[in-house]
Amino acid sequence: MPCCAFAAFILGQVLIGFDAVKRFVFGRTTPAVVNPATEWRLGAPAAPASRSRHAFRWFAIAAPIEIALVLGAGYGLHAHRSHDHEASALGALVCRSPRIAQIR
Amino acid sequence: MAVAPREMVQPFIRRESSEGPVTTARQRRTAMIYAAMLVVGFLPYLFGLSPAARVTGLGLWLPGGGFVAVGGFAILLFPVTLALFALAVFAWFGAGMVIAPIIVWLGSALLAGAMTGDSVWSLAPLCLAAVIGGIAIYEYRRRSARRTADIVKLEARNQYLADAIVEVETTAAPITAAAERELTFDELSSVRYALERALQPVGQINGYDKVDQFQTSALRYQINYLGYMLGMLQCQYTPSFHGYLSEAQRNLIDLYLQKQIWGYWVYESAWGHLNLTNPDPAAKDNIMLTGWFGIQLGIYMSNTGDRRYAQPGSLPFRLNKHRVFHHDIHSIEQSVVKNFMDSEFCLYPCEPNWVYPICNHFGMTSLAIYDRLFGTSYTQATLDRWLHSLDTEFTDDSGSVIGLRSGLTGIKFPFPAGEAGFAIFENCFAPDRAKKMWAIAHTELKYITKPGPDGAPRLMLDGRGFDFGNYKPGFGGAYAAIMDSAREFGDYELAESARRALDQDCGLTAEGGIKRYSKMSNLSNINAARGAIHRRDDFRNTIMQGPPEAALKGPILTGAKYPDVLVARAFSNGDDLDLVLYPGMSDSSQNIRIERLRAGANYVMRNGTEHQFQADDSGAALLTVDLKGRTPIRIIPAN
Repeated sequence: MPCCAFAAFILGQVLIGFDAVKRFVFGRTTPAVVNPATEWRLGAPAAPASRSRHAFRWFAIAAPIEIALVLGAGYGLHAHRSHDHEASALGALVCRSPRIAQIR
Repeated sequence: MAVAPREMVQPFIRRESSEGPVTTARQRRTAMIYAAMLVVGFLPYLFGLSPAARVTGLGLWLPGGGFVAVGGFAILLFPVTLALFALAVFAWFGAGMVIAPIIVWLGSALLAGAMTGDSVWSLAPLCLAAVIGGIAIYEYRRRSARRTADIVKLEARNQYLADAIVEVETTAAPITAAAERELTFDELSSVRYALERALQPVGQINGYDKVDQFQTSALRYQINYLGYMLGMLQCQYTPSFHGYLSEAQRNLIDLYLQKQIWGYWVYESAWGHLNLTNPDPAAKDNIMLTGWFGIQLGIYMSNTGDRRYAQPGSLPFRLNKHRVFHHDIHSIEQSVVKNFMDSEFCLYPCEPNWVYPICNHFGMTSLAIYDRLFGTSYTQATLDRWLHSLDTEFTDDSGSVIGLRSGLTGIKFPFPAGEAGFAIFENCFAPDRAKKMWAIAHTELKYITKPGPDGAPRLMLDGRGFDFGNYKPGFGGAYAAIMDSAREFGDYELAESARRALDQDCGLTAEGGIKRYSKMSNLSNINAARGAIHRRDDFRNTIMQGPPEAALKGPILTGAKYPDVLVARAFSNGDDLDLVLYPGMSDSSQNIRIERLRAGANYVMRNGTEHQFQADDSGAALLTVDLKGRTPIRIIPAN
């Protein structure tokens, strides 16, 4: 049944997305590990420039939600237009077929 | 038995309302705006407008509510929108992005309207009304339960408060006399953690946690706390040592002016104030910069007598090659005063619209040191109203100061706060209140003091904890902060309980002669280092008294090479210089430079042997000393 499959797709994407971003942002549940920032010594080579990982992490949070929102909106618009098209086609069919018009 | 002064034992008063008049007015305004949205949202139904209009209207009732009205699959977008709205609220909290929740709410309403077909789910209004009703009932019951619990806590506090104040007074260690101020080699190893970071070339930020620049892990807070630690060290242990210790503090101040440190404000001012033209970091709000930085500037200037940051434009916040915001300590503190006076709450925001009482404590402390340095009375002019607002608008039913309130809506937002954190600042400008706060903290921290594996008492918190310095699990930040505050109030027993918790849980190491906790954030390590050297009233005295007057006039140690020469003590009575040095690497002969001697005068250096020397025409002398373990050196006039 395509409608339920699509519903499952949207929910699945959201859930999978949330789980993935949760792991990505907060990491797996592990004991506290050594913080490399505390290891640095004056005179040691400069630490490699670290990107702001959290900027990407927040993007990772927002992305699946945005995808779900856009997909849902797209499907809704598509369904809306399909309904209009069918309604117009039915109307034309009725107009061309007096027998159908009589039955109605 | 000692009796606490009556004014200190004022009981907590049970208030009719836990919100003050300004908060009540803001909350009432928020409620009225929401009520208007409900009414406007229902008007399309009332006037029989199109399905799209009805759906959009219902979208104003709840974020994503319009999707419920669309029906079918679109209902799935309702929880999605709620999740996105929660993220948007978090973005508002974390970075002042007030437009985020507005965009999500209104945007989802418009999107739902665009998706609408020929009909609207007929039960949608009832469904949404039920959800709103359910939320309202849940929130009402939650607040009632919280108020009940807080009142019980209030009553309990009133029962023990008098005895608790007597206890903290009688058990507090005496203030350490200047003659006894000397860092141990172990304490010097904690100091080195801070010096390593502060002495790197300006612009380099190695050894810092770099996560985000909006919330508690931001670089600016790490820089501020390094400045406070080194400044307090200089004032209390080595007021007659400038050299690399003063250089370290200046480096931190210069680093703070770099865009990578303060540039967050460009974004927050844009999406929080809708200000796209003037992101001056010391204009409106942003007390998390002005208040915090003001303390750091004041401590350095107080310790050294160096008034360079009082010169107009001496603190340039450069945005790009075309734009710079020129400030100095005067304009920084005037920003604090003006914002205090302009705010209806008196206390004013960090991020746009978010009022943190703790940051406002930094702001008031910055005024206290500024007043002492420059003879103004900003504290006197603002403190009464500030304290009144703190008590009426930012204190809950248990008598505790809250962590955070939205200035726009009046809503209290969950943010951790505790008496220990506020007390250390109030000790500077309202010491009686601070003592009361510390008495509560001291009493309630007993519940988490338990025997450790060696039988000695240690702090023990349940759960995984949260280190605000890097958002990782762990209680190191809490233990370090408690240790630091406990020492300020002479509660060395509690401080030792906190230190044992740090040592046992947080990865203590002293490799290379630098003591640190490898499982904590940089910020928590800095607090732990400060706690290690902190003695009773050190922070208060650094702010309110400064170094001895003789330290600002007598001989000073200026030239010493880090880390070959570590300075454990440096005091002058005006004519002499009393030093205790350690070799940082290995026993060796080192050159040191002394300045502010009397030009051309003869002096004697005693360090096991006697060595006579003459100050040059500028009042300076270069000496060679043999550093072997603890090396006391005394320099006195030859006559």
